[in-house]
Amino acid sequence: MNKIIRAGLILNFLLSFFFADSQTIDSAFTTVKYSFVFRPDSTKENYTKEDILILDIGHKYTKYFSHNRLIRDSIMARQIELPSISNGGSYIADMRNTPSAGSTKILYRNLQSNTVTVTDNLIFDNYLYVDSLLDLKWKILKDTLTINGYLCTKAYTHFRGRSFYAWFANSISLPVGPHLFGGLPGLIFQLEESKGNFRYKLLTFEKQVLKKPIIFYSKNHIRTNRLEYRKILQSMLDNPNGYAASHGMIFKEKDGTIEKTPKIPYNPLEMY
Amino acid sequence: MKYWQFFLYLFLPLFSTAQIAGKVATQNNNPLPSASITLHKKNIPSIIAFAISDKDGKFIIHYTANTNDTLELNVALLGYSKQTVFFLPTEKKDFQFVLTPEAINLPEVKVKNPPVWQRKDTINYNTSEFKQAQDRVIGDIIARLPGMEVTPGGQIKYQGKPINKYYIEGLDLLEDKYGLANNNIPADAVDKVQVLENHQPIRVLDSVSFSDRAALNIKLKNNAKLKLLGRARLGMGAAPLLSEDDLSLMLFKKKIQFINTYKYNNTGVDNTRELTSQNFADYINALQNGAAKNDLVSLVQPQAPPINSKRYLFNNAHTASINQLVPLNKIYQLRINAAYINDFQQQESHTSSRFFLPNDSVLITENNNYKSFLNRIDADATVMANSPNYFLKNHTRFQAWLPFAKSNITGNTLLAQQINNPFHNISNDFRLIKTNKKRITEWSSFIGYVTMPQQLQIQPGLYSNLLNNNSPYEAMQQQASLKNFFTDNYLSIRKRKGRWGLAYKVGANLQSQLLNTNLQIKQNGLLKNVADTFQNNLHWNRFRVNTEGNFTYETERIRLALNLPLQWIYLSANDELLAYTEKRNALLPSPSASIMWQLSPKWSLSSAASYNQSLGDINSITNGYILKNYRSITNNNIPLPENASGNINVNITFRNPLKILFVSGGVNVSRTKSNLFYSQSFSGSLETLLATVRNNFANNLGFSGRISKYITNWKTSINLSTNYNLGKRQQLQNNTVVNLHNTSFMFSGGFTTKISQKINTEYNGTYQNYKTKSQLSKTATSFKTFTQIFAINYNVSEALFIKLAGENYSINSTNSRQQYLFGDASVRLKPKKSKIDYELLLNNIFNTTEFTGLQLADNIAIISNYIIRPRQVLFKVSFSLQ
Repeated sequence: MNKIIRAGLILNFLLSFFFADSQTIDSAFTTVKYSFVFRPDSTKENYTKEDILILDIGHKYTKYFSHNRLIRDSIMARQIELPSISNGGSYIADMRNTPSAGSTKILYRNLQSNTVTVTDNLIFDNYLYVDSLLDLKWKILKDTLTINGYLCTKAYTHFRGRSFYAWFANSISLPVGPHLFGGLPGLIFQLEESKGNFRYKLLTFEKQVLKKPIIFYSKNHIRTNRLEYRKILQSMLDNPNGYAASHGMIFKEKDGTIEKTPKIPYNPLEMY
Repeated sequence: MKYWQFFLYLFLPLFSTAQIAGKVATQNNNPLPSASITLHKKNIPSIIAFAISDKDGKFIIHYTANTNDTLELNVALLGYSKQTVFFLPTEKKDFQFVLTPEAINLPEVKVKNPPVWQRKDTINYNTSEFKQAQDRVIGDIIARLPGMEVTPGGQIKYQGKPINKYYIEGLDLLEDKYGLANNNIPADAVDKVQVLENHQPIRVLDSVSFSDRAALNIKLKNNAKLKLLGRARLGMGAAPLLSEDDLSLMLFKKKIQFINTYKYNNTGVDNTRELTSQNFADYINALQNGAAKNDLVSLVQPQAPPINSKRYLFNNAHTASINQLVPLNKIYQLRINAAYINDFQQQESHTSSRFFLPNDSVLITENNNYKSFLNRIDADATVMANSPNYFLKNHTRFQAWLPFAKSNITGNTLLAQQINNPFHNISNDFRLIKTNKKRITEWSSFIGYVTMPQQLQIQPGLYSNLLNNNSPYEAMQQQASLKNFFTDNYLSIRKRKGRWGLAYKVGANLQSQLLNTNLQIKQNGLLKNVADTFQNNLHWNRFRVNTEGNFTYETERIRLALNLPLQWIYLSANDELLAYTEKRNALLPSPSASIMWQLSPKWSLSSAASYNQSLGDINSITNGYILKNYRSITNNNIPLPENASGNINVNITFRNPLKILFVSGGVNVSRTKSNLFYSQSFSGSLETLLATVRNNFANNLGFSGRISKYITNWKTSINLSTNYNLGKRQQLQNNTVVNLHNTSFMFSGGFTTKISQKINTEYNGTYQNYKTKSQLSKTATSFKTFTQIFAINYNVSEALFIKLAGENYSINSTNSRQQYLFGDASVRLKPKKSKIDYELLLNNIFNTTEFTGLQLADNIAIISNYIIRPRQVLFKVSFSLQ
């Protein structure tokens, strides 16, 4: 899998130089950072991974993306920029001292229609779909808790097969939060899945004095819908080499047989 | 109405379920989506129901409430004013809201980084935690960081070891003259200071050749990265007329970095220090190759007193520097560093030196009135590439130092001495490292040429019995000139296989030197040579071939290295006039081994053992006499000196960034063998050096330890450090070998603390004890010093700062006891938001005008009395670009 990811990332990088197209859709007046702790494998309770996510909030759009991924990408881009001296075609990227790989998903929320456009890079291709979020309904509970100096109220939702509890600050009236979550009468400060598989915590809430542009990257996206995307993702994780082979990249063992890679555990936030 | 709601009505007649709807819009009647509409009971914060306005600004809320309660409907959207209406469930069903824009005035949530935190091999110091109101430049903060130490000369050490790089935003602008950054980057511009532990500056060698040194990286605040930083300052004072002016400009962008400075002062501030290289290993290497200034003749001049240089430096110094780093293309960077110094210094001192000889002692007293003039240019141009698979560095250096000094000596003898001791150096150092799948290949070539045409003049002519058949004469003039050509070239190949690393190096170097010296005397206005034996015309050629095998083994926690260099030296020296020739062949191995062991994430142990052999240089075999200074005439009619030394050291470090505790300690054992004994002989105050061929040894055992801790709650850092050294040397006295024992002990402790928001203090006390004892004498001679430095800063308001500082020196020897107290005060006014600040300083409040210092060496005791700077007042105005 590692090989595939490496090959794919580099391929993607090279492609992105040719096809990257970006468009400023809004400017953020506020930025929120969330820490995200999750269990990649639901059978391993004590194994967790971390990511830091940025939510740039504009008046029309919000953009939600991984801080760790951003850092890795910029480090890699810088290293790939340096022409390879030793032998053509091979790239060595020194990824030490970089944070662990973050999410490749980028979420753009349209605050007017309350829909979320999700883009994701599944190694070889970039996919895009629009999530209407009609099925995200909240129930506000009585509990309150002061987090980072803000009085927060608890809310509950059952969303796509999992239960979540959120704490939101009514005094910051923005119906946004981490990932797909939003639609509450206040900014979400914390969100936790009932079994502890996913935990989001607000790290910072800062105003942007110099308005930060919200840029939409359209990297040759394949337009799809949510259910289709889930199928592709599932197939990639179940059989990484098969997925690579379907893109013309075949990994062979030294004796010539096709390399077999184990299934990658999958613990999705959305169960359906 | 739904069926179940009907039942609700039946059984709970007090509650009604209802629906309200409405629209949120701006003043221009534009719909406002994503506003929060929350329904509460009047004055009760808990939310009964809510809605978010849709793209048309519309909302619908379904709710259940007691029909008698007054309800409260809040409409809010960040960036707009909040609106509240109260209503009874029975009255109103439709709401129209118009929101007006409003500045966001909510407290931000910011991550408060801990003062110190660690990420992999990087330790981050949050400068805001360690910064005090009075700090101006980053060096002020670095000196205070736990685990770090700045020597009086400006060298930065981390856990007791000198740093190997000082980066600014990851770029190496200054090589090892990092004092320029440390003394000029504004403290306010720095976000954090990073320590990169076990840092290998050459990226190609990163996983192949490991380093036990740390590098420093200065991370600037985002706003400081984009604009020009700097300061202009004017200072005037008395007495005599004082002036202190400087201008510094710097820029640290990704594509260009520069630091340009011009400074002038006659107030005792030594700005030449920031232009000094802090890499001593490089300096020693240069010295061995003849590429560093090593004067052939000198003035008799007391050592600098062991106190803060601003107390005794009577200077008049201009310094200017240009340092620029620009990328040439994607791979290569160009760096230019140039510095100019123009300095005029004066010093008045009185020295009495006592030399203890086997049967008696010689006392020399000198009143010294010294003046020196220096013009110095250093220019360096470097082309660099440092990527993970390619390294190139071509460094061209040009140095021209033109010092001139004179002094009048009264005392035992009355004389005037004068010296010209210039140094010119031009060199080029090329290094290329390439890597491919199989190996890493390195080529290196150094070539350099140095000239030192030096001259010493003494008036009147001395030692006429020795030099001029007892007839008096006017002056003596010693010419001494050294020309040195040096080249060193090598090729090395490194391979890595699993945990093993193998490197093989082969190299050749040549040193070709010519030393011309001639002692002349002036009689009746005419210069004449003294004799052939007072001349040297020595040609020296040293050819060296070295091979080196280097083996490393590395696991996650242990790194082992074994280094096996072997050099073959062919040396030839001849002086035709003196009919002297020396030819030598020698095969000298100098093996070394080291281990680094990460015992735990916090503890690490490193140890190294080395054996080194060396032969003397051209200065050690001069057969003709040279007047080194007015009271020393020396020749070396001796075989080539040979030295061999063994050294073992063990260091242990502990660091816990979470608790901000840094501890390190070490033991060092060394033994040196020399084939020659040196001893002095005196006739009057004329000293001649004698050498006897006889193996002798010097042993040394040293311990050192340091602890530093930061207590976050008290905003206090505490440092403790100690050294203990035991030395044994041998001397030849009356043809018998006498052992001399030296003991030195140092203990130093200090703290800086914030007593309150407005008051912070700094204190450091150092106790030193030095003892020397000869095998023949029953008692040891010793002296003790206790130095205390303290400061108290009082921030009267956000604009007014007061500082009181002082130094106390106490020096005790067997028969004398001295105390010195120096005090300084300053008031600084920096109006809020103003770029200008004003400072009034009063230095040396108690007007101490003299200082007496003591020096003790094996058989010499020197008492020196210096005139120091009197009380002075200075007013400075600074303008900072920020």
